[in-house]
Order: sequence, then structure tokens, then C-alpha cells
Amino acid sequence: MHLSANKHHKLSLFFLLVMLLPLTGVASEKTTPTGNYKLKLLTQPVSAPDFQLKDMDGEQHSLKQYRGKVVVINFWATWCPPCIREMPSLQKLYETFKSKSLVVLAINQWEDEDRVFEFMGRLNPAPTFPVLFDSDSKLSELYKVQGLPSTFIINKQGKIVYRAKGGRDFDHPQIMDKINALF
Amino acid sequence: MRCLLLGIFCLISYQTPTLADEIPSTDNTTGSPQWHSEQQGLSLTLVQLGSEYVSAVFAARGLPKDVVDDISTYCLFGTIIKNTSTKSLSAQLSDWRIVTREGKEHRLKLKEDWVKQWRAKGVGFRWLLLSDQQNFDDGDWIQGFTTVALPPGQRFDLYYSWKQQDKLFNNTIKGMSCAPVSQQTP
Repeated sequence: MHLSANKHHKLSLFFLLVMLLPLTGVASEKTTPTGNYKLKLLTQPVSAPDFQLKDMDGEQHSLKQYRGKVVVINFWATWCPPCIREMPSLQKLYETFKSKSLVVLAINQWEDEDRVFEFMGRLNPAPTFPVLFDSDSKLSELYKVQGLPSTFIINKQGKIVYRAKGGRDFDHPQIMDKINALF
Repeated sequence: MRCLLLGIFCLISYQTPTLADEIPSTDNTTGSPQWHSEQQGLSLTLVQLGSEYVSAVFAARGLPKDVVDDISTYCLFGTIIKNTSTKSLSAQLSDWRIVTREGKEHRLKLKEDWVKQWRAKGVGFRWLLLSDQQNFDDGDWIQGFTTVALPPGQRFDLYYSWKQQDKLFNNTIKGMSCAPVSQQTP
């Protein structure tokens, strides 16, 4: 079978895109730090800005409704490789501490619900915590998020006590211990 | 004769890396040239990106065609900055300079510049690009695109700086280049 130059070019571009797709995040998986468990402790915790966002079922979530619980807020997108990489560890963290009332909120940036819904179905394990939509990125601006993924850990009093810029392994014992100490 | 030899030498040294140039490594997965440097707590990796790839990435975010076409004309790098030390550090990307072989100095066009331009067109997108002020605590890192208004294939040196505990550090990556012209669809 002979491909026309045009088809051949398009095919080449397709393969190039497939190969470079991890860079949309922009690093490839292998450049993502492994075993990264460091969290920045805020010695002077600040109040976490409240919000109202919808989840995939159209249900509203506010930060206020989770007062008295430990909340992990994770800003992410489906095109961000380190976000995808850390998602299973967030699920493990959630499963470990949900009986202690840990709340994990994955806040998607700038994507439509169909794309995210389809993407979630492909994750193993599939996240069982709520995925919220910050469609206009207003909340990420409020939290001064510089890049994805970014994570904030909020104590029972509604204060940000830890933050992380870039991917982490949230099921790492050192992170687990830090979160366990907040209950 | 001496003049001719000098001319040939200048032509060769303009088109080929000088002895001081960093030799880019090639990403095994993507085949794209990448430059890497790690100094005093800051690790910097820059992956050369072609215009077709850039165009496809921004189009996939649902951005208008004129926005996609505009950014695709720029020289882009996938940029990964990591704090490899245990102390906080910061970098102001607007201080970084790109100097071409002809000695012309350029600044990076950063997220703030693009977002301002896009907002004027009613586009609220603010991802993928690195912003000016970058702060890194222990374990922090970031990745995103950096852009500069240079033509395809342009060779240049990158002069960059960062701060740690009020001390300013500088480094240079010599002999970087923008992606060459993409093959056009016949």
C-alpha cells in the first residue's frame, strides 16, 4: 500500500503527537520525580478561600461544608502527565483516611465534563472522591496556583497547613503520617 | 586568500556549534533535542518543540484558530524547573535573557503577556505557559512552555538566574536552538 505524501505527512504528525503528548504537561513520565513526598509546611497557616463548585453529577460543593474535616484540594487537568501519575496515590490516601473523614477534592481546570468523565473511567483505580470543575480557573487564581498539579492540605479549622507544587506520591508513608497527624 | 579563509571560518562557526556550546541530549521517547543543567539547587530542562506540535497542543485546548496560529509562530520549549535542594528558591523568568549569535537580546514572552493578549480577545485560558515569578519550596517543581519571538532554527545562548537565601545565582546554556521549520504538507 502506498500512502500519498499528504497522508504520509499526516500519519507522521499523528505519531509525533502521540510521542510528544506527555510533553503537554510538559514533562514525560520519566522526568516526573519519583518518591517525591515533600510537603511545604506553612508555619503560619492561612485561611483557605471558600468556593462553590459543581461535581460531575452537577452537585454543588463548598469548602465551608467540610469544616471540621481534613481536606485535600488538588488542582489538575487530564492533559497534565504528573497530575495523572499522582491520581492513584490520591485515591490510596483517600481510601486510607476516609473513615477518619478525609475529604479529597480534585479540581479540574478548563475542561468539559464529558472529557473528564471519559478520562476518569480509564484510570485504575478510578477515583471515588469528588471531581469538581473550575471551568474559568477563577479558583486556581484565588489559590495563586502557578502550575499543575498543585495541592493544598487544609486542617479541620479551614486553614491551609501544607502545600505542594508539582506531582507527589500521596501514598508515601511520610505524607500519610503528616495527614494522619491532622485528625 | 586570508580573507577567504576568514570568511569560511566565520560561516562555519555561525552554522555549527562552538566549542563552548552545550550539546543537547535527545529524548529517547520524543526524539526532540533537550538541554539540561543543574546548578546550586536549580535543575532546568528545556525541550525543543516544533510549531506543528505546539499548534496541535493549543488547538486541543479549544483555543481559537488565530490564537493557536499566533503562538505557533514563536519558538517554544517545554520547560521543567525543579528545586533540587532542601531550601526554598525563586526565579524571576522576566530577568532571563536570550542572546542570539548576532548579539541581539530577547526576553521570554511569559504567561502574563499571553494571558493579557488572550483576555483582550475574550479567551480566559491561562494554562500550559510558565509565569514570571516562580517560587519553589523543598520538593517543588513545575513544568510548562516558555516562548520567545525567534524564527525557526535560530541559535542562541540562554542566560538565566535564580535566588536562594538572598543570594543570586547565574548560569548560561550555550548553543540552544529553536526547532527548525516544520515540513509543510504538500
